[in-house]
Amino acid sequence: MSGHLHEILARGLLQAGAVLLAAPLAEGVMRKITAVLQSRQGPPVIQPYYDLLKLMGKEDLECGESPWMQRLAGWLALVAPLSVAALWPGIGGQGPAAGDAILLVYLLTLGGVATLLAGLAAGSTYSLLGISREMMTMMVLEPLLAIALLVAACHADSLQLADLFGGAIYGRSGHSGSGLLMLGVLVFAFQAMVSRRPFDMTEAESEIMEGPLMEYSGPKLALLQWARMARLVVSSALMVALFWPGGAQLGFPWAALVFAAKTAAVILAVTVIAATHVRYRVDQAIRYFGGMLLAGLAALGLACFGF
Amino acid sequence: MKPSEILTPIKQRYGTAIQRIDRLDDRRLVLHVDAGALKSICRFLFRDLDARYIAGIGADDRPYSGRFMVAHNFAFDRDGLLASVLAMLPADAPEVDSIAGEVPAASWSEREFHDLVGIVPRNHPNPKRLVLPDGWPDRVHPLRKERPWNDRPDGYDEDRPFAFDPAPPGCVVVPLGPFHPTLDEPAHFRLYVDGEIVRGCEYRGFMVHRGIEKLAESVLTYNDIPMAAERICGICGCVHNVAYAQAVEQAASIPVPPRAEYIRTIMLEIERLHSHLLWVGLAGHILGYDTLFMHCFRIREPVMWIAEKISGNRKTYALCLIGGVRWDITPELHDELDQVLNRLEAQWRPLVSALLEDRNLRRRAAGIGVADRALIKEQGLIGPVARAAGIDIDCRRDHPYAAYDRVDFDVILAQDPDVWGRISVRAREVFESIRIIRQCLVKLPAGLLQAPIADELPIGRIGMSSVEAPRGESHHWLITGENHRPRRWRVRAPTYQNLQGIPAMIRDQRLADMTITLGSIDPCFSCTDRLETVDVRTGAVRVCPPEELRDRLRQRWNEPTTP
Amino acid sequence: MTTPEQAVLWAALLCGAGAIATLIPRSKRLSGGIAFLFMGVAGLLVWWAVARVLMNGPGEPETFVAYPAWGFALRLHVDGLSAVFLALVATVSPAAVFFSIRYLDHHSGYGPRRFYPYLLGFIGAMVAIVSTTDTMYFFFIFWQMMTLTSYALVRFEHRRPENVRAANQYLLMMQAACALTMLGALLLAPAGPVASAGGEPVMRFDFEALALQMPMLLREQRGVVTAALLLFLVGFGIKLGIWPFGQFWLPDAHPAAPSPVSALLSGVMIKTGIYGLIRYFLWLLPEHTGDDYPVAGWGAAMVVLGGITLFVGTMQALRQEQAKRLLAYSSMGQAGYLLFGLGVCLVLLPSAHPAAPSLAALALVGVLFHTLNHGLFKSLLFLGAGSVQRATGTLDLNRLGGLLARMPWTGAAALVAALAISGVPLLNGFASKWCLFVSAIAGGRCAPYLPWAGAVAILTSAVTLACFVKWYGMIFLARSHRRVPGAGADRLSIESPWTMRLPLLLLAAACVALGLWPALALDFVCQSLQESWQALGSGLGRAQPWAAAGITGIMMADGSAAYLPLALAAILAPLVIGAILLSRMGASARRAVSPWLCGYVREANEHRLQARHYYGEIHRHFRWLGGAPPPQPQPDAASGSEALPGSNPPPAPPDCSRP
Repeated sequence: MSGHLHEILARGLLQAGAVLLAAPLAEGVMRKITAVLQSRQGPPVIQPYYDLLKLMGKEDLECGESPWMQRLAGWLALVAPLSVAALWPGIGGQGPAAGDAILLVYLLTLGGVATLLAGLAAGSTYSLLGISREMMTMMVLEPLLAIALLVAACHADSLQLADLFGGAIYGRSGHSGSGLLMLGVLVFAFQAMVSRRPFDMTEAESEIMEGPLMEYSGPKLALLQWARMARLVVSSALMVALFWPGGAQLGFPWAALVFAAKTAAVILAVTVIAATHVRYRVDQAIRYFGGMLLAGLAALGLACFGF
Repeated sequence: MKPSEILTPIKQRYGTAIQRIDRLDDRRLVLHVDAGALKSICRFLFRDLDARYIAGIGADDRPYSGRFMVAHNFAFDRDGLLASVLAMLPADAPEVDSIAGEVPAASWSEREFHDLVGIVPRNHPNPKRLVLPDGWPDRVHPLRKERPWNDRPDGYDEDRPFAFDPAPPGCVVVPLGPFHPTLDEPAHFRLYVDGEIVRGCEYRGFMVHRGIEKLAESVLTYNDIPMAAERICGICGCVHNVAYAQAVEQAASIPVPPRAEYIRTIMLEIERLHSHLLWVGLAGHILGYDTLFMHCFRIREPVMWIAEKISGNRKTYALCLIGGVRWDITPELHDELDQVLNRLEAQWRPLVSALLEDRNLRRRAAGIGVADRALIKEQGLIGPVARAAGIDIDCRRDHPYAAYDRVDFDVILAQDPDVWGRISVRAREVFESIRIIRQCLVKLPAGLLQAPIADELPIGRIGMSSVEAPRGESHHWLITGENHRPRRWRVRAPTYQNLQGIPAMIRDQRLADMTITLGSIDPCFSCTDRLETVDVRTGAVRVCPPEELRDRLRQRWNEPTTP
Repeated sequence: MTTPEQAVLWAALLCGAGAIATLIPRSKRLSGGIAFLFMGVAGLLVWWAVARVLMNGPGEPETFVAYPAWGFALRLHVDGLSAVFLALVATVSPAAVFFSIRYLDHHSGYGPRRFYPYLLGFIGAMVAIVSTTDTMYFFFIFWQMMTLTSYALVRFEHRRPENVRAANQYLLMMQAACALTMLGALLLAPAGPVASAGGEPVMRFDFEALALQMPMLLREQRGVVTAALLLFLVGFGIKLGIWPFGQFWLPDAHPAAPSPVSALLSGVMIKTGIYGLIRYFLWLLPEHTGDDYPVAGWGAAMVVLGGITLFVGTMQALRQEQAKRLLAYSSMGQAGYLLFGLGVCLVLLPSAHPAAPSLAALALVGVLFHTLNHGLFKSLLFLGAGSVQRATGTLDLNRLGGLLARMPWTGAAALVAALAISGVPLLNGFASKWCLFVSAIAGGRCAPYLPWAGAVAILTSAVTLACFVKWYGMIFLARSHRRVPGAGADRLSIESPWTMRLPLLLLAAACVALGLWPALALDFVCQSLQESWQALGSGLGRAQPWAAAGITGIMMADGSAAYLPLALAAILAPLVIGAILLSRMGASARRAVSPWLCGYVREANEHRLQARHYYGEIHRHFRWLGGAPPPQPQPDAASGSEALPGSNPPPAPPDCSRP
């Protein structure tokens, strides 16, 4: 394995860099589509890059009693989704990896932890209300993603990401009941995983004024926003990798392009749903997620017994 | 019931306590009563005769009668009658029994005249400062005649904090406002929150009170005031403009030409159109539904343009003078307005049907911000808040003014006393407004725009006017006076009453419902506070050089109005 | 050459001697110093014994005292399994004793002579009880020594009635556990002394005698075996704090005790419960028992019980409003992981699937690894809570906040522990949970319901995260309560003296080290398993469950799962550096401001979110699980006085200095 360290590193950093660069573009496309849906002209597609650039140079206000924690939270927030990208086993190919599905779930959670730390370190009433909501959502959503991976793991008899991606969730028959049920569950829960409307009550500009992020400005806000964009890309890619197989056999450039196109399609769907829904209240959302979680556990039960 | 039928039981009960009864006309009544019987009579009107409380007024009448004056206005909506119960108080001891214990809706009015005029409501249940800023010295009352309009009292203490009630045990205090994304104007709510549940709140508003009323009775003249009144509110300015003009016209018995009455009706309804469209969008925005917001604003824009074509302004039409209007509806405008209405109806109808069938929206908005019949009665809630609960009141029909008695329209009701009901009522009222404007355009008579007024207006007459603003009844009350200006002019905007219902409406609800509940009464703090304000929702805040502004305006005039 | 058994006996006796020695001085610090001296030497002896067992393999059991007529013998045996627990005792105890030296300062009115003698006796008894082979007399003696000393420690602050009540509850439950376990041993014991495998006669209640008797009982009297195992499960389960027994004593006893004692109770003592369960289930039953006795059924019962315990315990922890009480409930949740892992191991053991032995081994290794890890981070958390209590005079989450700026070292160490227990990768908690999860999920090949149970465990780990977000956030982050010493003043330091910080930092370093190099602990545990008696569990040591990766980590031998923390760290490090560079790119100026409260009111205490306000919607749905926090003494808001009824008055901060 030691011979593979440089390979893991090189590929990981490459993939992380790609996500980092592509994430604002995805956000820009989202904004543009939203604008079209709202019969507006909308900002240019590359506006998010300008926004981030502008924020990088703005004054950095720190209201927390422990500003170091605020800084740490900002860095951690961006690193978490990028580390997931870095662990990605490569499109279709079996690449070396530093971890497996369980690590993936925890790394995705780490992004949430960073937001929580950010909110706690800022410590204003609204931030704390926001992190309480964020944590409640995470408590239900993080297991949901884990369950989806476990369903795939049950079918694939493995926890390596390379074995789980590319349709393993549908079992050897290609259309297992548990895989389809899980697909349904995740389609309904996906907006929440990327914290877009109708499940953006953590931030809820019109209620608690962006919650955990409200005390952030300048470069820290840039990092946190960038992290949010990266999380959208990574989560959408995860959906594609788990539930939308096909195209891997096309070889190097085409497989990657097909994968990117599918990811873009998922982002498009997220955008359309986000633009056409009312924000849920946190209690409504929790009840909704609870139902999803039970359905997920049922799917896992099916998968355990081979269905 | 005629005024006489209402007067009979009052006379029977309070014979000697009633000093005098003025019948201003068939629909306006002023009862001069003993100060000692005021509380009892108000209770009788409110409880036994089931009158709706409108507003309380305190006035410094010492230069004229040597006494202070206090009045409580009631509405008999089914009978089309407005009544003012008026009592005089001695100059050396301006005190009166508080009626807020019996008539909870009077609480703010009494606190207000305590602050501004220095009339003490005895045994008020919550005798805290309402209008004056925290640092204002205690014994200075700006509406007293001896205080100049630009008074800067000694002893102003910038650092004096407001004495809020202690938070209930186990609750965290979440401040909301004055600067909050969903509050477009400054007001402070101190929410007592237990987890996500709001257990109560305390309101501290009137942060932008600039004393328009004081200005009117000391600096402006009758025909200046409509323009100032219009600037009370950025949304329903025309309502205040009309209501004030009508109050003066009624006090001085000035007949208004029919064409002017129709034009007033048209402009009021145009204002209602733009306000309702704006509000539905805003409700969507508060609920996190920005697409609805954007579409509402797109649909609304032609309404603003036609208003600009008629009056020269998107908002703040500067419509009325005493006895008439300033703008005419020319035949060209007539046609264009017709087209705007057609397009508006065509675009709004599908949006409303989609809106009212949106299950997500309904699930989110139903059951929150509940104002039941009891609360509406106790706090005197009005407008869409009351109509959503199925209470059939509408000043346009109950206390007709302008040309409303000559057009045919329905009062839109719902049976859901919650945010959902209010969305439904306001979305559907748009169609009634379109209907009213169309009828007015058809019936618009020829004739003068302005009644000739030869003589000075009579002095010491009382005028009352209620106008149905988009948010509910706006009430103006005044006494005419010397020097071409009223002695006392009191404005009660709809938000003034509706806000008093908010603590009960948000109690034991989730924090997430607070902003939409507040939004559902369409709070207009500038109305409540009575100031000059810029419409921050529609007006551009950017400062641009006059040349550029002029160019842009020209450019827009030359564009076709269809977007 | 001293044998490991002798070393352990010496260590226990040293603890006893220390207990007597600390009776003499009146000074708290002197007494503490003496205690640490004895404890340090005893700890070194224990470590020496552990090292010897690992290197040379276990020796023969050694008999020190024997009265054959009574069936009474002090026979000690340090095998691999004992070594793991001895290592835990020898790591945490010196840290706790060292911490006590200055910690005790703030317990004014309670002398050291009520503390150190008991503390050392307690530690000595724990050393002895994981080494003795006697299941009756000496088991009873050591158990009582452990129980009575800790009872005295729990009621250390005996002037507070709730502490005495908690201690009495604790005593009652421990005596019940003792009786049940001994009853189980009585059922299994042969009629008289038997000859051991080595030909040496052993007493009838010796563990070896019970083991020798076992094949016969399994053939002829299965009911007796089942009854005895049930008694062991309940008896040791009470000790371990499993649902529903743990709820009766654990959440009251842990917060009542002084913090170093809580650290030992939670970090070490309740682990004797899982030690007993492993010992009796895996080393009492002969190899191949699974062929005809339903071992897997016991495993399933433990999986279910463990699952309930970890879920209920953690959910109840989520509701708590007092720092140590939250930790106590969370200890029950973590104990659930241990029982869960043992259950998975037992389920997989008898399976014929080729991967089963290595998965079972991974589960047991996970249990032992998690035992060590929990010992490290939970004692660190309790010691951290102790530092906080000493500095601020309260443990009420509602009256703390913002301490990271005031006690940065303690805060940093506690952050490591809080993240570790929440399972953040690169820390030790993740590595051991990873073992448990992988064995449960991959175990689906052998017992289909295991992945489902694994999902419940993963779900609970999100709840654990929520608990510690609240715990850490309310103590060290957010805004400080006005009663926190130095609140308002600009970053007034109330950091503990270095003698209290050092143990915290060492434990935190251990958490990081084991997180980055889990192979260190895994090799240790695996080595231990190979060096133990031949029984049901002994096969586990041989089934090497992972391939030692070049980059130190864990990897399932069949390549289906892997965790390589160093590789992950190698990826994360450049990413973090990149993020830092990005945030510096614009060279933006930093400015300290106060939080935004909508522009009218000024920041005040009443704007602080209280503990009960976190996660309200979750509590609403899980109220039926119980565990409501007891009412906290309400601060007399009007007077603003600092003295709270029944609590220690906060001392003047000892090291008030502006940095």
